[in-house]
Amino acid sequence: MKLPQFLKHFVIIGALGIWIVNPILVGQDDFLSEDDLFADDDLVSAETIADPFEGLNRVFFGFNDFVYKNFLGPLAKGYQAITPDPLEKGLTNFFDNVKYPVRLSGNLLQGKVEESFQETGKFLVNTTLGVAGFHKASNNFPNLNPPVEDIGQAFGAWGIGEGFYIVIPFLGPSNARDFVGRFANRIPDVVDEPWTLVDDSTDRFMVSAVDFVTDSPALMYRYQSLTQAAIDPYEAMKDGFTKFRMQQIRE
Amino acid sequence: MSPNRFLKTFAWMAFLSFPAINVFAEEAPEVKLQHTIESVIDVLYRADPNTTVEEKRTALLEVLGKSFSFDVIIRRTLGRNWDQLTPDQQNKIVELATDLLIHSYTREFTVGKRPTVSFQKPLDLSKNKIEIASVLSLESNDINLTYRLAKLESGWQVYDLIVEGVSLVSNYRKQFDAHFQKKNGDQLIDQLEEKLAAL
Repeated sequence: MKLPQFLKHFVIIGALGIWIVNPILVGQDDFLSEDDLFADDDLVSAETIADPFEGLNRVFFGFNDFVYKNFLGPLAKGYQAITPDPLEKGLTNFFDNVKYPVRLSGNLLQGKVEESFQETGKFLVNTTLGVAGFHKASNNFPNLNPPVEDIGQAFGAWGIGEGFYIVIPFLGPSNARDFVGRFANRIPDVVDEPWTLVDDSTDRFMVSAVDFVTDSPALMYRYQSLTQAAIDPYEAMKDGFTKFRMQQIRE
Repeated sequence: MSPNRFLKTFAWMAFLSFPAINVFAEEAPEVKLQHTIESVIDVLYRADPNTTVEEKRTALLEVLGKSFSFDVIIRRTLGRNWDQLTPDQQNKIVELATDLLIHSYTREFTVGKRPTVSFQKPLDLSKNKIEIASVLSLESNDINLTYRLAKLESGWQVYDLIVEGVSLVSNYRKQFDAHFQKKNGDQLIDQLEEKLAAL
Protein backbone atom coordinates (compact mmCIF):
# COMPACT_ATOMS: atom_id res chain seq x y z
CA MET A 1 0.00 0.00 0.00
CA LYS A 2 1.32 3.36 -0.94
CA LEU A 3 1.07 6.13 1.66
CA PRO A 4 0.04 9.60 0.48
CA GLN A 5 2.95 12.04 0.15
CA PHE A 6 1.86 14.41 2.94
CA LEU A 7 1.51 11.45 5.34
CA LYS A 8 5.06 10.38 4.58
CA HIS A 9 6.27 13.90 5.38
CA PHE A 10 4.20 13.93 8.55
CA VAL A 11 5.74 10.66 9.78
CA ILE A 12 9.30 11.84 9.03
CA ILE A 13 8.72 15.23 10.64
CA GLY A 14 7.06 13.64 13.67
CA ALA A 15 9.94 11.24 14.20
CA LEU A 16 12.54 13.95 13.84
CA GLY A 17 10.52 16.33 16.02
CA ILE A 18 10.46 13.79 18.85
CA TRP A 19 14.18 13.19 18.34
CA ILE A 20 14.88 16.94 18.69
CA VAL A 21 12.47 17.78 21.51
CA ASN A 22 12.92 14.63 23.62
CA PRO A 23 16.36 15.52 25.05
CA ILE A 24 15.08 18.98 25.87
CA LEU A 25 12.04 17.53 27.62
CA VAL A 26 14.22 15.11 29.55
CA GLY A 27 16.44 18.05 30.51
CA GLN A 28 13.41 19.89 31.88
CA ASP A 29 12.98 17.29 34.62
CA ASP A 30 16.60 17.65 35.59
CA PHE A 31 16.28 20.27 38.30
CA LEU A 32 16.69 20.60 42.05
CA SER A 33 13.74 20.93 44.38
CA GLU A 34 13.74 23.70 46.98
CA ASP A 35 14.03 20.99 49.65
CA ASP A 36 17.31 19.90 48.07
CA LEU A 37 18.67 23.37 48.74
CA PHE A 38 17.36 23.50 52.32
CA ALA A 39 18.98 20.16 53.04
CA ASP A 40 22.21 21.49 51.61
CA ASP A 41 24.70 21.02 54.40
CA ASP A 42 27.42 23.37 53.18
CA LEU A 43 26.24 25.90 55.72
CA VAL A 44 25.38 23.55 58.55
CA SER A 45 28.99 22.47 58.71
CA ALA A 46 30.29 26.04 58.57
CA GLU A 47 33.10 26.35 61.04
CA THR A 48 32.68 28.29 64.26
CA ILE A 49 35.00 31.18 65.05
CA ALA A 50 36.77 30.95 68.42
CA ASP A 51 35.66 33.92 70.49
CA PRO A 52 36.70 33.30 74.12
CA PHE A 53 36.64 37.02 74.95
CA GLU A 54 33.21 37.68 73.46
CA GLY A 55 32.05 39.74 76.43
CA LEU A 56 35.00 42.10 76.25
CA ASN A 57 34.93 42.10 72.43
CA ARG A 58 31.30 43.18 72.44
CA VAL A 59 32.16 46.06 74.77
CA PHE A 60 34.93 47.21 72.40
CA PHE A 61 32.64 46.67 69.42
CA GLY A 62 30.04 48.94 71.03
CA PHE A 63 32.73 51.51 71.76
CA ASN A 64 34.03 51.40 68.18
CA ASP A 65 30.49 51.60 66.82
CA PHE A 66 29.97 54.79 68.85
CA VAL A 67 33.29 56.24 67.63
CA TYR A 68 32.61 55.30 63.98
CA LYS A 69 29.08 56.69 63.96
CA ASN A 70 29.85 59.89 65.85
CA PHE A 71 33.40 60.73 64.77
CA LEU A 72 34.72 58.64 61.89
CA GLY A 73 31.47 58.84 59.87
CA PRO A 74 31.17 62.64 60.08
CA LEU A 75 34.93 62.92 59.49
CA ALA A 76 34.69 60.80 56.31
CA LYS A 77 31.66 62.78 55.12
CA GLY A 78 33.35 66.11 55.85
CA TYR A 79 36.54 65.03 54.12
CA GLN A 80 34.59 63.92 51.05
CA ALA A 81 32.57 67.14 51.02
CA ILE A 82 35.52 69.55 51.16
CA THR A 83 37.98 67.58 49.05
CA PRO A 84 37.61 67.80 45.27
CA ASP A 85 37.11 64.29 43.80
CA PRO A 86 40.41 64.21 41.83
CA LEU A 87 42.39 65.21 44.94
CA GLU A 88 40.55 62.64 47.07
CA LYS A 89 41.32 59.92 44.58
CA GLY A 90 44.91 61.16 44.18
CA LEU A 91 45.56 61.02 47.93
CA THR A 92 44.05 57.53 48.19
CA ASN A 93 46.32 56.40 45.33
CA PHE A 94 49.36 58.07 46.89
CA PHE A 95 49.02 56.33 50.27
CA ASP A 96 48.20 53.07 48.56
CA ASN A 97 51.39 53.33 46.48
CA VAL A 98 53.51 54.16 49.54
CA LYS A 99 52.43 50.84 51.13
CA TYR A 100 54.21 48.93 48.37
CA PRO A 101 56.93 47.52 50.72
CA VAL A 102 54.26 45.92 52.93
CA ARG A 103 52.59 44.24 49.93
CA LEU A 104 55.96 43.17 48.53
CA SER A 105 56.94 41.64 51.90
CA GLY A 106 53.65 39.73 51.99
CA ASN A 107 54.35 38.36 48.51
CA LEU A 108 57.98 37.47 49.17
CA LEU A 109 57.18 35.73 52.45
CA GLN A 110 54.75 33.51 50.53
CA GLY A 111 57.28 32.84 47.77
CA LYS A 112 55.07 34.57 45.22
CA VAL A 113 57.80 35.56 42.79
CA GLU A 114 55.60 36.52 39.83
CA GLU A 115 53.30 38.62 42.03
CA SER A 116 56.37 40.29 43.60
CA PHE A 117 57.49 41.39 40.13
CA GLN A 118 53.96 42.54 39.29
CA GLU A 119 53.79 44.51 42.54
CA THR A 120 57.18 46.09 41.83
CA GLY A 121 56.16 46.92 38.25
CA LYS A 122 52.97 48.48 39.57
CA PHE A 123 54.94 50.61 42.05
CA LEU A 124 57.41 51.79 39.38
CA VAL A 125 54.68 52.64 36.87
CA ASN A 126 52.57 54.50 39.44
CA THR A 127 55.59 56.37 40.87
CA THR A 128 56.83 57.51 37.44
CA LEU A 129 53.95 57.66 34.97
CA GLY A 130 51.52 58.15 37.84
CA VAL A 131 53.39 61.23 39.16
CA ALA A 132 54.59 60.01 42.58
CA GLY A 133 51.63 57.65 42.87
CA PHE A 134 48.84 60.24 42.70
CA HIS A 135 47.52 58.68 39.51
CA LYS A 136 47.01 54.92 39.26
CA ALA A 137 48.68 54.54 35.88
CA SER A 138 48.96 50.77 36.47
CA ASN A 139 45.21 50.46 35.75
CA ASN A 140 46.18 50.66 32.08
CA PHE A 141 48.24 47.48 32.43
CA PRO A 142 46.05 44.45 33.21
CA ASN A 143 49.08 42.39 34.29
CA LEU A 144 49.97 44.87 37.00
CA ASN A 145 47.06 44.09 39.29
CA PRO A 146 48.18 41.35 41.72
CA PRO A 147 46.05 40.54 44.80
CA VAL A 148 46.79 42.76 47.80
CA GLU A 149 49.06 40.94 50.25
CA ASP A 150 50.28 41.64 53.78
CA ILE A 151 52.30 39.82 56.42
CA GLY A 152 49.24 38.49 58.27
CA GLN A 153 48.19 36.77 55.02
CA ALA A 154 51.68 35.28 54.71
CA PHE A 155 51.30 33.82 58.22
CA GLY A 156 47.97 32.33 57.09
CA ALA A 157 49.55 30.89 53.94
CA TRP A 158 52.22 29.24 56.11
CA GLY A 159 49.44 27.36 57.84
CA ILE A 160 49.24 29.42 61.03
CA GLY A 161 45.64 29.38 62.22
CA GLU A 162 43.71 32.59 62.89
CA GLY A 163 43.56 31.88 66.61
CA PHE A 164 40.80 33.67 68.47
CA TYR A 165 38.75 36.65 67.38
CA ILE A 166 39.49 40.05 68.92
CA VAL A 167 38.11 43.54 68.57
CA ILE A 168 40.73 46.26 68.95
CA PRO A 169 39.58 49.65 70.28
CA PHE A 170 39.46 52.20 67.43
CA LEU A 171 40.96 49.75 64.90
CA GLY A 172 38.15 47.19 64.76
CA PRO A 173 38.07 43.44 64.11
CA SER A 174 41.12 41.23 64.05
CA ASN A 175 42.35 37.85 65.27
CA ALA A 176 45.43 36.66 67.14
CA ARG A 177 47.37 35.93 63.93
CA ASP A 178 46.52 39.23 62.21
CA PHE A 179 47.17 41.16 65.41
CA VAL A 180 50.79 39.97 65.29
CA GLY A 181 50.83 40.53 61.51
CA ARG A 182 49.71 44.12 62.05
CA PHE A 183 52.86 44.80 64.08
CA ALA A 184 55.02 42.94 61.54
CA ASN A 185 53.54 45.14 58.77
CA ARG A 186 55.11 48.14 60.48
CA ILE A 187 58.63 46.87 59.82
CA PRO A 188 58.63 47.39 56.03
CA ASP A 189 56.29 50.42 56.25
CA VAL A 190 58.17 53.54 55.11
CA VAL A 191 56.22 55.78 57.50
CA ASP A 192 56.58 53.70 60.67
CA GLU A 193 59.75 52.99 62.61
CA PRO A 194 62.39 51.45 62.49
CA TRP A 195 63.07 52.15 58.76
CA THR A 196 61.00 55.31 58.55
CA LEU A 197 61.68 57.86 55.83
CA VAL A 198 59.99 60.56 57.92
CA ASP A 199 62.47 61.72 60.57
CA ASP A 200 60.39 63.99 62.76
CA SER A 201 57.85 62.26 65.02
CA THR A 202 55.32 65.11 64.65
CA ASP A 203 55.57 64.88 60.86
CA ARG A 204 55.16 61.13 61.14
CA PHE A 205 52.00 61.58 63.19
CA MET A 206 50.64 64.07 60.64
CA VAL A 207 51.33 61.71 57.73
CA SER A 208 49.61 58.85 59.57
CA ALA A 209 46.67 61.11 60.42
CA VAL A 210 46.23 62.18 56.78
CA ASP A 211 46.52 58.54 55.68
CA PHE A 212 43.81 57.61 58.19
CA VAL A 213 41.46 60.41 57.09
CA THR A 214 42.05 59.51 53.44
CA ASP A 215 41.09 55.93 54.15
CA SER A 216 38.08 56.83 56.31
CA PRO A 217 35.39 56.88 53.56
CA ALA A 218 36.38 53.37 52.40
CA LEU A 219 36.53 52.16 56.02
CA MET A 220 33.09 53.56 56.76
CA TYR A 221 31.67 52.09 53.58
CA ARG A 222 32.96 48.61 54.48
CA TYR A 223 31.79 48.98 58.07
CA GLN A 224 28.29 50.12 57.11
CA SER A 225 28.06 47.52 54.37
CA LEU A 226 28.31 44.77 56.96
CA THR A 227 26.50 46.29 59.89
CA GLN A 228 23.76 48.58 58.59
CA ALA A 229 21.33 45.85 57.57
CA ALA A 230 22.46 43.36 60.22
CA ILE A 231 20.29 41.86 62.96
CA ASP A 232 23.35 41.30 65.10
CA PRO A 233 26.09 43.65 63.82
CA TYR A 234 28.71 42.05 66.08
CA GLU A 235 28.14 38.56 64.64
CA ALA A 236 27.89 39.99 61.10
CA MET A 237 31.27 41.71 61.47
CA LYS A 238 32.93 38.70 63.07
CA ASP A 239 31.83 36.39 60.25
CA GLY A 240 32.46 39.02 57.55
CA PHE A 241 35.98 39.85 58.72
CA THR A 242 36.97 36.19 59.12
CA LYS A 243 35.64 35.13 55.70
CA PHE A 244 37.19 38.16 54.01
CA ARG A 245 40.63 37.32 55.44
CA MET A 246 40.20 33.66 54.47
CA GLN A 247 39.54 34.70 50.90
CA GLN A 248 42.55 37.04 50.87
CA ILE A 249 44.77 34.17 52.06
CA ARG A 250 43.35 31.82 49.42
CA GLU A 251 44.10 34.29 46.61
CA MET B 1 14.32 11.43 -2.69
CA SER B 2 14.80 14.09 -5.34
CA PRO B 3 16.64 17.28 -4.28
CA ASN B 4 13.46 19.27 -4.66
CA ARG B 5 11.49 16.95 -2.39
CA PHE B 6 14.34 16.82 0.12
CA LEU B 7 14.36 20.62 0.35
CA LYS B 8 10.59 20.69 0.81
CA THR B 9 10.80 18.12 3.62
CA PHE B 10 13.63 20.02 5.26
CA ALA B 11 11.67 23.28 5.08
CA TRP B 12 8.66 21.61 6.74
CA MET B 13 10.86 20.15 9.46
CA ALA B 14 12.53 23.46 10.17
CA PHE B 15 9.19 25.27 10.21
CA LEU B 16 7.61 22.81 12.61
CA SER B 17 10.66 22.50 14.87
CA PHE B 18 11.10 26.21 15.62
CA PRO B 19 8.10 26.63 17.91
CA ALA B 20 9.03 23.47 19.81
CA ILE B 21 12.59 24.61 20.34
CA ASN B 22 11.51 28.11 21.30
CA VAL B 23 9.12 26.80 23.91
CA PHE B 24 11.76 24.69 25.62
CA ALA B 25 14.93 26.70 25.05
CA GLU B 26 15.84 28.56 28.22
CA GLU B 27 17.84 31.76 28.37
CA ALA B 28 21.43 31.09 29.45
CA PRO B 29 21.71 31.73 33.23
CA GLU B 30 24.47 34.33 32.89
CA VAL B 31 22.44 36.24 30.28
CA LYS B 32 19.32 36.15 32.46
CA LEU B 33 21.31 37.26 35.52
CA GLN B 34 22.96 40.08 33.61
CA HIS B 35 19.55 41.36 32.44
CA THR B 36 18.26 41.24 36.01
CA ILE B 37 21.23 43.17 37.43
CA GLU B 38 21.01 45.82 34.71
CA SER B 39 17.29 46.19 35.45
CA VAL B 40 18.04 46.56 39.18
CA ILE B 41 20.50 49.37 38.43
CA ASP B 42 17.88 50.96 36.15
CA VAL B 43 15.34 50.96 38.98
CA LEU B 44 17.87 52.38 41.45
CA TYR B 45 19.27 55.08 39.20
CA ARG B 46 16.33 56.07 37.03
CA ALA B 47 13.77 56.16 39.79
CA ASP B 48 11.66 59.28 39.82
CA PRO B 49 12.47 61.36 42.94
CA ASN B 50 8.76 61.23 43.75
CA THR B 51 8.76 57.43 43.79
CA THR B 52 7.68 56.17 47.18
CA VAL B 53 9.68 53.58 49.09
CA GLU B 54 6.84 51.12 48.58
CA GLU B 55 6.82 51.67 44.79
CA LYS B 56 10.57 51.23 44.63
CA ARG B 57 10.36 48.07 46.73
CA THR B 58 7.66 46.62 44.46
CA ALA B 59 9.72 47.43 41.36
CA LEU B 60 12.87 45.87 42.85
CA LEU B 61 11.00 42.77 44.02
CA GLU B 62 9.53 42.31 40.56
CA VAL B 63 12.90 42.65 38.86
CA LEU B 64 14.91 40.60 41.37
CA GLY B 65 12.21 37.93 41.55
CA LYS B 66 13.13 36.84 38.01
CA SER B 67 16.55 35.61 39.11
CA PHE B 68 16.52 35.50 42.92
CA SER B 69 14.65 32.89 44.92
CA PHE B 70 14.07 34.82 48.14
CA ASP B 71 12.07 32.00 49.75
CA VAL B 72 15.05 29.70 49.35
CA ILE B 73 17.55 32.34 50.44
CA ILE B 74 15.63 33.25 53.61
CA ARG B 75 14.98 29.64 54.58
CA ARG B 76 18.65 28.90 54.14
CA THR B 77 19.58 31.84 56.36
CA LEU B 78 17.29 30.48 59.07
CA GLY B 79 18.52 26.90 58.71
CA ARG B 80 17.43 24.66 61.57
CA ASN B 81 15.69 27.60 63.27
CA TRP B 82 12.98 27.54 60.55
CA ASP B 83 11.23 24.59 62.18
CA GLN B 84 10.92 26.46 65.48
CA LEU B 85 8.64 29.03 63.84
CA THR B 86 4.87 28.92 63.30
CA PRO B 87 3.63 29.27 59.68
CA ASP B 88 2.55 32.87 60.41
CA GLN B 89 5.97 33.71 61.82
CA GLN B 90 7.64 32.05 58.83
CA ASN B 91 5.62 34.14 56.35
CA LYS B 92 6.23 37.35 58.24
CA ILE B 93 9.96 36.71 58.59
CA VAL B 94 10.30 35.86 54.89
CA GLU B 95 8.57 39.15 54.01
CA LEU B 96 10.67 41.28 56.38
CA ALA B 97 13.99 39.53 55.79
CA THR B 98 13.47 39.83 52.01
CA ASP B 99 13.21 43.60 52.42
CA LEU B 100 16.33 43.63 54.56
CA LEU B 101 18.27 41.52 52.07
CA ILE B 102 17.19 43.71 49.17
CA HIS B 103 18.35 46.75 51.11
CA SER B 104 21.64 45.10 51.98
CA TYR B 105 22.25 43.95 48.41
CA THR B 106 21.19 47.09 46.56
CA ARG B 107 23.23 49.27 48.90
CA GLU B 108 26.31 48.01 47.08
CA PHE B 109 25.02 49.61 43.88
CA THR B 110 24.01 53.01 45.12
CA VAL B 111 27.28 54.78 45.82
CA GLY B 112 28.03 57.70 43.50
CA LYS B 113 27.53 57.51 39.76
CA ARG B 114 25.82 54.64 37.97
CA PRO B 115 28.12 51.61 38.29
CA THR B 116 29.06 49.14 35.58
CA VAL B 117 29.03 45.38 36.01
CA SER B 118 31.12 42.78 34.23
CA PHE B 119 30.37 39.06 34.41
CA GLN B 120 32.65 36.08 34.04
CA LYS B 121 31.71 32.73 32.54
CA PRO B 122 29.71 30.40 34.82
CA LEU B 123 31.60 27.84 36.82
CA ASP B 124 29.99 24.45 37.57
CA LEU B 125 29.69 23.73 41.29
CA SER B 126 27.78 20.49 40.80
CA LYS B 127 25.29 19.04 38.33
CA ASN B 128 22.60 21.67 38.94
CA LYS B 129 24.54 24.43 40.61
CA ILE B 130 26.74 27.08 39.11
CA GLU B 131 28.64 30.15 40.27
CA ILE B 132 28.90 33.39 38.29
CA ALA B 133 31.54 35.87 39.40
CA SER B 134 31.07 39.56 38.63
CA VAL B 135 32.87 42.80 39.32
CA LEU B 136 30.83 45.84 40.25
CA SER B 137 32.82 48.94 39.31
CA LEU B 138 31.84 51.88 41.47
CA GLU B 139 33.18 55.40 41.19
CA SER B 140 35.87 54.81 43.82
CA ASN B 141 36.47 51.05 43.94
CA ASP B 142 35.58 47.64 42.56
CA ILE B 143 33.52 45.08 44.47
CA ASN B 144 33.62 41.35 43.76
CA LEU B 145 30.13 39.87 43.78
CA THR B 146 29.68 36.17 43.12
CA TYR B 147 26.22 34.72 42.50
CA ARG B 148 25.44 31.07 43.25
CA LEU B 149 22.58 29.69 41.20
CA ALA B 150 20.65 26.44 41.31
CA LYS B 151 18.49 25.00 38.58
CA LEU B 152 15.00 24.88 40.07
CA GLU B 153 11.71 24.02 38.37
CA SER B 154 11.26 27.73 37.69
CA GLY B 155 14.68 27.96 36.02
CA TRP B 156 18.09 29.13 37.23
CA GLN B 157 17.69 31.04 40.49
CA VAL B 158 20.18 32.76 42.79
CA TYR B 159 20.32 30.98 46.17
CA ASP B 160 23.35 32.77 47.65
CA LEU B 161 25.39 35.87 47.03
CA ILE B 162 29.03 36.26 48.00
CA VAL B 163 30.25 39.82 48.56
CA GLU B 164 34.06 40.03 48.73
CA GLY B 165 34.28 36.46 49.96
CA VAL B 166 31.44 36.85 52.48
CA SER B 167 28.35 34.74 51.84
CA LEU B 168 25.19 36.73 52.50
CA VAL B 169 23.34 33.55 53.52
CA SER B 170 26.12 32.36 55.80
CA ASN B 171 26.50 35.81 57.36
CA TYR B 172 22.78 36.06 58.19
CA ARG B 173 22.77 32.41 59.32
CA LYS B 174 25.37 33.26 61.96
CA GLN B 175 23.28 36.18 63.14
CA PHE B 176 20.03 34.18 63.27
CA ASP B 177 21.76 31.31 65.09
CA ALA B 178 23.03 33.77 67.69
CA HIS B 179 19.52 35.28 67.99
CA PHE B 180 17.76 31.94 68.54
CA GLN B 181 20.20 30.92 71.27
CA LYS B 182 18.61 33.51 73.57
CA LYS B 183 15.45 34.80 71.87
CA ASN B 184 12.40 33.58 69.90
CA GLY B 185 10.60 34.13 66.59
CA ASP B 186 8.36 37.00 67.75
CA GLN B 187 11.41 38.86 69.04
CA LEU B 188 13.07 38.36 65.66
CA ILE B 189 10.03 39.84 63.90
CA ASP B 190 10.15 42.86 66.25
CA GLN B 191 13.86 43.26 65.61
CA LEU B 192 13.44 43.03 61.82
CA GLU B 193 10.66 45.61 61.89
CA GLU B 194 12.76 47.96 64.03
CA LYS B 195 15.74 47.51 61.73
CA LEU B 196 13.73 48.25 58.60
CA ALA B 197 12.12 51.29 60.17
CA ALA B 198 15.57 52.66 61.03
CA LEU B 199 17.03 52.22 57.52
